Amino acid sequence: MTGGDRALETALPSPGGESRATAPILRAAGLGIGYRRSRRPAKVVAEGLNVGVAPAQFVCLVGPNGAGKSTLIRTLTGVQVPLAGKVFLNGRDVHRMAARELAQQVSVVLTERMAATALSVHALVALGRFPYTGWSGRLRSEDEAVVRWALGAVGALDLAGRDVSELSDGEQQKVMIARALAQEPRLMVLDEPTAFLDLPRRVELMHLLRRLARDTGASFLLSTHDLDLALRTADRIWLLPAGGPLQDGVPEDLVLSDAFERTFANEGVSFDKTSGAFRVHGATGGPIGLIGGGVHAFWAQRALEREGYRVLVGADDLAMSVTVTADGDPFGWRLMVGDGVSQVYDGSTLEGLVACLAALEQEMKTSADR
Amino acid sequence: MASTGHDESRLRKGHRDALGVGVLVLLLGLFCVHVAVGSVYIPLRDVVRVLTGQGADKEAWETIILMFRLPRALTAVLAGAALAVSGLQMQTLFRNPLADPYVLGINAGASLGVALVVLASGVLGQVVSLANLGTTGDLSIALGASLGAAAVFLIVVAVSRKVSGNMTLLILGLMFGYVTSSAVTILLHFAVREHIQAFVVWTFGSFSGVTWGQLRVLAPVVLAGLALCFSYVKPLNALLLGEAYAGSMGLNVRRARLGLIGSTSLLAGVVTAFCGPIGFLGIAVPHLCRSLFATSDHRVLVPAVTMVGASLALVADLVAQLPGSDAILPLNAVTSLLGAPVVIWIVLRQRGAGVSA
Repeated sequence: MTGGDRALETALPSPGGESRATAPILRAAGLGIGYRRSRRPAKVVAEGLNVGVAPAQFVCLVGPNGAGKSTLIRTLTGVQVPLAGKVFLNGRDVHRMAARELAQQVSVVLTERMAATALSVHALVALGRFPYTGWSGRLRSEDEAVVRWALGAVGALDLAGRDVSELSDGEQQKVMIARALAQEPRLMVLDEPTAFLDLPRRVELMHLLRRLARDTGASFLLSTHDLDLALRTADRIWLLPAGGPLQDGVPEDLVLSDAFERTFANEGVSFDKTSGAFRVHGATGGPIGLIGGGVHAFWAQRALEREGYRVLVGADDLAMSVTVTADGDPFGWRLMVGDGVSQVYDGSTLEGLVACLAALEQEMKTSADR
Repeated sequence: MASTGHDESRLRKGHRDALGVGVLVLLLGLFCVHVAVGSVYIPLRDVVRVLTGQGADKEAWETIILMFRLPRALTAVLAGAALAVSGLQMQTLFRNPLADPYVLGINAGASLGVALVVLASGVLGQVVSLANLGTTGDLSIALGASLGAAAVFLIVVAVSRKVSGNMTLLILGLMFGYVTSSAVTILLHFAVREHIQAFVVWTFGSFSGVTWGQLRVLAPVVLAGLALCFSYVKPLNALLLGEAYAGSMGLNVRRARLGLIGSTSLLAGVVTAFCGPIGFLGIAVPHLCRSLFATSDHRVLVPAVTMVGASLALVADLVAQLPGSDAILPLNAVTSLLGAPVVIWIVLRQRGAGVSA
């Protein structure tokens, strides 16, 4: 599966039970991406890519910086010529399609911000009708209807009369998605659409995109650095490690097969399968046991790991252990030293717990020096 | 709530149409006033009668209007429209509010052409002294400027075929301008005083030197350039989002760029050749119109900029004549004196709105 060769045939059945064609909208066959250079061999970013996107599918492309996410996106959308292989859109070679025809099937949302003044949201979204209008770009009534629909689909109808330069980052991103929707694409490609947004806006945006994929039947491919969000929302993940090869699969499969861990192994962080989150390298401190469960245990683990401890959940036979005290209200944590002999801390804040641990370390260090 | 945007845009459209008609009326009015004002007093009634082909009370008035004032006013209208529209094209193409018709180095090329003509007549010595040439001298300056502008245009086109990014082109244009300016400075350094004088007068800019015969060249070229720009309203709108987006919507960015550069070179080149390098209209008018019409839609902006550019050129030329006195100011000084406060006012107003929003 991780090779991605059979990804096309195993495209996800659509939710809701109605049968949709599983033939991929976008398919890359033996694709090599990179840059041709004059009088030097071409710089190969990745090669041997065989992937596809099925209708209504929401695919996230993740990978470390410099692995070639942008190059891949540029090649898939026909902007950049591949070094080898081909990209097919509904069975037709992307790099041989007329620009207008391609624009009627693929639209993009890029990272660059809009600087134009005196441009209304409505006018911006209306520009998405570019591949459909005549020489002057005048909107027919059906174009106008599509623009209204696109604004409504992203929940931006009330922004229609506003100037684009007045919008917040989140609003602007929604409007750019509406513009891309107005192109009525079969495939929408977004380059790091969550980059400028705060966390709530990111979550909102990802769910919006996922819903749009379901509602419109169009495929969505986006590159992102938000691994956690990608893991939670994507139908499939394309994992592009530096130097390739691209690995394609359902998020959970990629986690369980350690593909995530390997891809991000050299980034100074490691991916923790059990928590589904990243952990900063360099657990310098000793082991510490953590007894208890639930949300309090989870955040205690975070705090302890940040302080450099190697947290062993459920271990009560270590020199140090933290127990979540469920008996009191409010909740608390109890720090025990020496196989649970002496109690060092019993309180309700992690700040207190961490401070106590630091004091303990200091104490042990000075006694060891002496 | 759902229909507010739509209604608002319709309201704006009605507002815009009224504004457009107002600007057109203003332009026609200014044209008549411009023809009426001069060293000889001619009543406005007679001006309108001559312009509509009914003849004036005095035959001399008819001659003055038809031989001197009408070509001058027409030149101002054509030049103002041409410079303003090419400024708009450059600002949109480069997505830079400071771009003007001359960013490609067109006027630098024209200056070099004129400087070469001046120096050539200096080298040939007293055989053909520029001062004695009269109309032929004006024509040789126009020819030199045209050739210089055309040479720069060809270089820019050749470069734009190779270069992929607009920003690179912008920088190359600027650098090219510096190189030609220094060439001009060197040429002037070795020129004799009278010829420097002739060159400096050319750089002042003027609408008055253009004859009916020269208008026969100026008018068709300007109209062709304007027509080219009008045919590019849709690509211009797409370019508001930048080249990458425009390309993703199916625009052939290179071809559009070539068309816009062609149109700008025609417009700025021919106006510089006949009227000298007239500054500020090209940068100020697009800003004024965006603010006035509250839109970046080129279907509105291109006609608006054409009319407002023509109107402001008429106003500037009126002011330069200092009605009621015998003195004449350099046109270039007037356009900047009028234009700079306008731009400052717009920029400050936008900043203010941005802060309060």
